[in-house]
Order: sequence, then structure tokens, then C-alpha cells
Amino acid sequence: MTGAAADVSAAAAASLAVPPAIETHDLVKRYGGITALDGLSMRVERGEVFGFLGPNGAGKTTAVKLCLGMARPTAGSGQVLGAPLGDIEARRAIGYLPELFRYQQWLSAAEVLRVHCELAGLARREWPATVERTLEQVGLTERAADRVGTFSKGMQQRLGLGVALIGRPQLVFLDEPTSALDPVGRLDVRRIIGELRSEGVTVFLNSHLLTEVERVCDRVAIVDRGRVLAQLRLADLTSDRTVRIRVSGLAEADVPGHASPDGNDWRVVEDVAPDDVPAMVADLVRRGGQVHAVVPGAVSLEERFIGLLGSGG
Amino acid sequence: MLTIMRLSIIEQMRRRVLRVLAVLTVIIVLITAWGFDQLIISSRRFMDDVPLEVIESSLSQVLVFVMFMFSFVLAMVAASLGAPAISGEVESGQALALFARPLSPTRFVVGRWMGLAAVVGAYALVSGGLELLTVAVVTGFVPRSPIGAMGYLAAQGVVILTLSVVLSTRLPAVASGAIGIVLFGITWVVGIMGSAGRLLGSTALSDLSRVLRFVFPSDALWRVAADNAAPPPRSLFDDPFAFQATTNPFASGGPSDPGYLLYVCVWIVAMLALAAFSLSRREL
Repeated sequence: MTGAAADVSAAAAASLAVPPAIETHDLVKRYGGITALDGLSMRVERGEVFGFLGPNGAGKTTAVKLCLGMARPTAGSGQVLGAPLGDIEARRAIGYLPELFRYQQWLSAAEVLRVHCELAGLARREWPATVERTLEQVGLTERAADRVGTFSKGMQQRLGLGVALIGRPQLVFLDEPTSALDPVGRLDVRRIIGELRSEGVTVFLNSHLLTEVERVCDRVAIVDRGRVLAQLRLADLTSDRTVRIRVSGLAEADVPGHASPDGNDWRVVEDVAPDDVPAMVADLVRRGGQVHAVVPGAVSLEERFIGLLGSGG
Repeated sequence: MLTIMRLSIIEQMRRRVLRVLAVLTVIIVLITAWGFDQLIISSRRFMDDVPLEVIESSLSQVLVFVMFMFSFVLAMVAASLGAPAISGEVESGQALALFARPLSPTRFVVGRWMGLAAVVGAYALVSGGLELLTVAVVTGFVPRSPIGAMGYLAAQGVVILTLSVVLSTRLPAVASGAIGIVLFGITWVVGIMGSAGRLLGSTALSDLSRVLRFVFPSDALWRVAADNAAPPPRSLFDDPFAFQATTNPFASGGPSDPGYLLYVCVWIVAMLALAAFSLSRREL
């Protein structure tokens, strides 16, 4: 074996040796008669920003709680950073902003961050710099000494984001991280996620705000009723294999694709090769349809989301 | 564990309720100081007819009443601090960020308990010490063991706190606090009935109080605290109130017993283990 070949082989072996950030197999979670997760299987690679999308009640927060060991699966298994679900030691490398964010109201923002430095196991000499940097990152430097009880909801969510960044995490769970933020705050969250990506940190972003996800994620899983309906790369959505058409004179069932989520007369036809578009239009005309417009272009995440939810996967 | 303990202490120090309690305690001590002073002034009028032992015994009886009031306040404080110790954190969502860290349920429960036990113990020692010091200054009366009286009073508070923390792993704060206070009351009543039962020869009543000493050692500790607040033994031999003392629900039930104290420690450890297990089985 040549030196170069040996290097490639060693690199491949090393990449195989590093387990994915998250891997779950057929996770089921039932609360009494209610099934919150119904066979969730997914894999999130190291260093990617992964969007977990779904309508309210789809099981998004339950999935995060199972990954963090805050709830136990009824069936199925999984690993987080190579450790079994719920492993306490694995949490040293995890950051978490809960959907229901609440921090000690009687502490100042800096004190809350110091508590988490301590809980995360950072050396005491690192605390001041870590706290200062984190406050700067989330835009709370000027309120560092103020009690959390005096903060607005948005400021508390910023603090929660800061808490999630403490301890040099390898994996950060953000559960609806912009729910209480104004547009400037949302921009800050996008910036922070971008910084995490550039540092190689895996981000698991739980959200139902599709435009937010579309802007920051590498890959998304669309979930509904506890099941993954689809996993897609955002880059694939921007491919030109989609056309939007406006047709009259035909029954809805006779027109290919699905209705545009905008609610107008447009229909979205996916996975059409550019060369096949003339034949598709000719077929519509032959069957008596009047084609008003044909617009090639990318399908938005929202269109894909609605399409998947409408068809039930 | 020490992080959570420190956090619990800071939480209580920064809340208004402890400051209000401190002010009320000072007011209580001042009122009782005035009361004891009046008792001394009145007793001086009969000094020639009434022996010193009788005056001492009377003062100790009043002191035990005052201590019982402190014991009740302490029970309320312990229950109200312990009841939301876990449930409050879980229900508010505060626990989510904490348990995302490498923090086990055992470390969390023990840390919370240590912090709150330090607050309850400190309150018992400071308020009890202030009261005993005031009584000593005003009347000259020093109980058999002031340290023992305060220590057992603090232990009683810690026992009630421990039970409230255990309940708090499963029940809402209001329910945990109410159950803690009701159990404190039940064991106290059973303790009185047990004393009466012993005098009247009712083995059923005395057996019941004996069993309850081990199930929930709150009243048993109070009785040892009261025993330590009694006058030195010399004055009890000729004490005309000796019979009354044995039937007095506020009075002593026996001297301190190291074996029983050890049992109380084991009880607390067992309760904390139960709390940690209960929390580990709870989903957030």
C-alpha cells in the first residue's frame, strides 16, 4: 500500500470510527393511549445543521427529550454522540435550549451562565471569559448584572441560547429557538447557528418556522404524528426539477402535481426533468386543458412540507 | 451537588419570605421577653412563699410552650421550603436546562436537600438560640441543655423538610406541603395520646405512638427537644408539677438517645434515596 493510499484508508477508518451525532432506530413513545412518537428512525451526522420540522403535536419536543434522556422510549433504541440515549456523561458535550425556557429568576444573567459553567465541568479559571463571551454572543452584555426576573421573554430566550452554548458543546439542541424573538433576535440566532456550523458543532433545530429552517439547515426531516415523512437535503430543494403550472379546463385530479400552498390556481409538479416539460404541456393541451403559464423553478420547503403533510407522506 | 446546594441557599436568601420571617421572629422574641419579664416581676411578690424550684419549673413550662410555637413555625417553614423543592423546578421548566447537564437525579435531590436543610437548620438554631438567650437574660433561667434543645428542634425541622422533598418528587407543591404539615400534626396528637395511654395503661395507644416514632420521627424529636429545655434535674425531684409535666402534651417524652438519633439519620438517608429513585423514574 502506498503512503497516500494508507492516509486515505486511515482517514476513512477514522470517519467510520466517529459515530454520528444522533442515530435512532424505531423510537416509540406513548403517553397512556397517546402515541407521541411512532417508530422514529433518523441519523444526524456530525457537524451538520439538521432541521426537525413538523406541525404542532408532531412529536418534535418528545424526540429531543428522548435524545437527552429526559423521557424514556416505550420501544426502540438510539445513540447520541456514540452513547446510549440518556447517558449522563454524554451530556457534557451537549447544549440545550428548551422550548419551555425558564431560568433562576433570582439570579443575574451572568450568575446563570456561571452556574452552567460549573455544571458543565469547566475549570473555574475559564468561567469569567466564557461568561463574558457568551453574553456578547447573545447580546446580553449590558444586562449581565440584572436579575433574570426583570427580563422580557425574548431576553430570557437569548439567555437560554447562551446557556446552550456553554461548555464547548459538540451537539446543540435548539427547540423553537426564535419563538419569543423579534426580527433582530432571529437574525442573531441565524448568525449563532452559522458560527456553530463553522466550528463543526452539530445543531439539531426543532422548529415549525419553515423560512427559518430553510435559511440555516443543511438537511431536514419532516415529521408528523411521530413519524418521519421525509428526510431531504435543502440543496436538493433548489434543484430545477420542479415546475409551477397554471391550467384551466381540466378536473383537479387530471392535472399533475399538487396545489400550491399559496392557495392560488398554481400547481406544483415535482421531479420533472427540464426536457420532459414540453411533453407534459402537450399532454395537458391534448386532453383539453388550457395552459396559462409554466414556470420552471425550485420548490420551497413550505411547498414540500405542505405537500408531504397533505399526502400523509 | 454543591452547585445545587449553593443555588438553593442563594434562592432562599434572595427571596422575601425569609426576610419577613426573620422580622416576625424578632417580634416574637421581643413579645416573649416582655412576657417572661412580667412573670419574673409577679413571682418576686411571692418569693418568700414559693420555692425557687417551682418558679424554675413554671418558667420551663412556659418556655416549652414558646418552643412549641417555634416548632410549629419551623414545621411550616420546612414544609413550605421542601414542598416546591423538586416539583417547582419540574413544573416551571427550570429543571430542563439543569438536567441537560451531567447532573444525576441523586445529586440534584441531595444538593437541594442540603441547601434547604442548611436554611432550616440555621433558622432553628438562630431563632431558638435568640429565644433561649433572651429568656436567660430576662429571667436567669438556663435550660438543662440549650444546645440540645436547639439541635433537636432543628432536627425536627429537617425531618419535616425531608418528607416534603420526597413528596415533592411526585406531587405538586401545595399537596406536598399540606401532607407534611398534616403528618406533623398527626404525629404530635398521637404523641399526646401515647403519653396519656402510658399513664392510663393503654398499651394500644402507647404502642401506636412508639411505632409512629419510627415511621415519622417528627414528634419524637420535639419531645427530646422539650426535655432538653426542662430545668436541671435537681429541681424536678420536688417539683409539684412533675405529674402535670408527664401528661402535658408540650412537655418532655424522654432524654436524648444516641441510638434513636442514629436511626433518624438512617431514616433521612433512606428518604433521600427514595426521593432520588422517584425523580429518576419521573419524566420531564
